[in-house]
Amino acid sequence: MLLAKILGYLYATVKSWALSVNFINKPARIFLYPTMNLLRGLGSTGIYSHSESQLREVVPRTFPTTGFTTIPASETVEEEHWPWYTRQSFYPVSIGDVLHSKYQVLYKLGYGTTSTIWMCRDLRSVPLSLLRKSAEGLYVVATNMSA
Amino acid sequence: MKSMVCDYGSVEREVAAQKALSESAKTSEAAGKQYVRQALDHFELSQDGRNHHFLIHEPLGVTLDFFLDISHGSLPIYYVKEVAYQILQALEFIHGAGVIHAGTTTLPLSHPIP
Repeated sequence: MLLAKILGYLYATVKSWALSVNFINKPARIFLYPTMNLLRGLGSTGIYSHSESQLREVVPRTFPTTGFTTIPASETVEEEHWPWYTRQSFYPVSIGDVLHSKYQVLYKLGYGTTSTIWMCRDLRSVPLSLLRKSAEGLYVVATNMSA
Repeated sequence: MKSMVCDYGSVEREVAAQKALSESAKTSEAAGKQYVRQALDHFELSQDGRNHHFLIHEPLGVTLDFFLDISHGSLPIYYVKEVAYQILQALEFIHGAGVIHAGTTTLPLSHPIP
């Protein structure tokens, strides 16, 4: 009886210690940006991180000019609804534009009071390889891809 | 790509802050720097005599706001603790670079693209 009590006490003590140092119920770690860290590690993003010889020009995509409905120019959209909006404040970004000889605009992601956000391709990109992860490790699926 | 308005004072301040963070990230040993989305490039374009600033960022993943929304406003405590810890680590790096983040809400916090 006493032994059981001692064992019970020991168990409770060890368990509370394990909980306090997070041995039990330890959640899987969550990372906010692992994809980006991986990309950084491989040096595939960040124009500062790789040499000029690795870079290559990618041909800009051409976008259709027909096949969609055009809304009247007088109709306001998104940030244009704001009472303080002025056309002069915002740079006229269009889909398909290549800005700074490098970044081709693909689509609009969003807008804020002082900016608009666009998904772009870096035309001076580093060739990418697509890797597939299996139990044996990583193997290359495709090479010389561009974003 | 962030295309910014030409006539607002805080634009210059944001560009300066991003430059300070990029500079600091080169040498900083702070664990939180991996949680801060850096600017990769900055350029300016002139339009009708007005100067516009552009910042190129790494692609942003799904925001924490979105996760809050699909989980009906609450998240498991271990998840909240982990995220809070990472936010504090990120702030440690940002403050170390001499920059103050004045808008820490769920919107600019993003989850990885799997």
